[in-house]
Amino acid sequence: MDALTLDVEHRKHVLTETAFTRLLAWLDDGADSQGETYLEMRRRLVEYFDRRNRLFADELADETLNRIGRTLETSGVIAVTPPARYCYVVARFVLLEDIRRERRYIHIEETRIATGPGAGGGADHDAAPSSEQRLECLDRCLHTLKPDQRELAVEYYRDAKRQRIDRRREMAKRLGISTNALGIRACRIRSTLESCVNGCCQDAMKGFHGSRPMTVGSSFKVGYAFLA
Amino acid sequence: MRFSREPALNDQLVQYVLGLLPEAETERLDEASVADDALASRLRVVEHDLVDAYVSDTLDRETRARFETVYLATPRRLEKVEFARRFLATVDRAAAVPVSLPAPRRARSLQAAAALLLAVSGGLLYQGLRLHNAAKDAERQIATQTQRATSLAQQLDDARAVARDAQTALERAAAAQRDQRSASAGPTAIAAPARAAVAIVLLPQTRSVGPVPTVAVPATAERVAFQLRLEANDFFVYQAALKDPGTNRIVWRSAQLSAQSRDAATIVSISVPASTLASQHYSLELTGIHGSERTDVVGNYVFQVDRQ
Repeated sequence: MDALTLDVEHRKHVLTETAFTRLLAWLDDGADSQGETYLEMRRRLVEYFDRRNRLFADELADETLNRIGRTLETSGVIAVTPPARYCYVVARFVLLEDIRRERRYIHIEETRIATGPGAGGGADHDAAPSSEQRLECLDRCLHTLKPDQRELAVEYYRDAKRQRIDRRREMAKRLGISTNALGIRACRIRSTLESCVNGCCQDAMKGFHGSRPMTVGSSFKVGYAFLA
Repeated sequence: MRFSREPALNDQLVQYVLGLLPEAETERLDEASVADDALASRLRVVEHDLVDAYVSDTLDRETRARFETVYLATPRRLEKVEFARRFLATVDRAAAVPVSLPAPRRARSLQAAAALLLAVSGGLLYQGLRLHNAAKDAERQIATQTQRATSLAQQLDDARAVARDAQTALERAAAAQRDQRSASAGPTAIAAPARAAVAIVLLPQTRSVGPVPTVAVPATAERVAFQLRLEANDFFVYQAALKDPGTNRIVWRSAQLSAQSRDAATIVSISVPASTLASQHYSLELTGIHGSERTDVVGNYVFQVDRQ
């Protein structure tokens, strides 16, 4: 547990290839998810830090995973199981350190970021994509979905004000699954779209206008934490 | 707003998202939101519904005020609301015109030019695209079939192992019976221990409290067969992990499996080595895998083992 309280400021963005490989294998816990478990854990950690009102949720999530990667690199093994639980333990330390640091320093960048409603965590907020660009990205991302996924998303989320519950119940019945399973399926498509739009907007800001194929579950961020 | 199922849990998650729970409960859900797959998924569904309700102005006044002061406190969540606004408008537009979703704006402006271009080189392009798509489809089908074939071969091996064990067990039981009959005048014969193969059907765990099924495993059994019933067959491939709930450690993992329809039910059959089972509770976590896409936990099956 000695890696839990390393200084975020000085150690962030330091993860060797060995550490990253070990981190992926450890998170997979015997299966090979091709990086999906890592991406899912990173998403959960970002959401956790964000719910705790941390402005740099992405960085804190990366710092959490980097610490675990470094521990795996130096000691080779982490006894605490399951991996997700250990991730939370480390994340909690990272959170507390961040809260302590906030009390000591004034975050000049935070005030700048906090004023921009278009901020999406880690993006360049001085050059935020326009509403038109975002809509275009959303259109493009929707078109990259498989037809059945697109239909499901449209049917599940349309017409928020009226008969949504009944419609969802009917959909679940038609598909032969529970409404809970349907909700999770629709939610997964929506989250993927959201990631796709963010990636598309970032690309647009870099002047990249080519389309990229996407399916649910794919992501543009594999290897994000590997910055050595 | 109301949710269609498990309203108590959903309401609690709404309170969690809006920062209305006591700190201890908040921390418990913090941990579960990272470490518990099912809760993490449910939380996202609830959060989306909450954001959608805000965007479509269906929250009551108190919840709306809370949402604006607490939820809209970070740029990331503001962005989620903005995304929801655009997303809901887009799906409503798409639902109103069910033929197809609106084409991307840039693409729309190029449609006339593209149509002209297509008219000129249409035949060649069409053939080329058809061939390209056919090749892609064939690749996909081969990959899927290969995956299925591997999975079915594994299931076949497992089924053969179980059948072999059952046959051996029957033979030994018959031999033991014969021995017992022939030695009836003398001291009681000790029957040869049966290498029994045990089989049990498990249903997915629900929130309702019910008896945990018990599997009696003879000391000499080599494998225990389980049939895991599914609520729905959403994936091509599944994988089961046997967990010790005491430590939450995975003690055994199956190969990749396919679901089968049997007696109007969908099941996944697995065969667990008996040597991995002690007298205690276990849970089998069944994960769905869709090609190279992400995986999802589709069910948990809890049972008690009684070693004999």
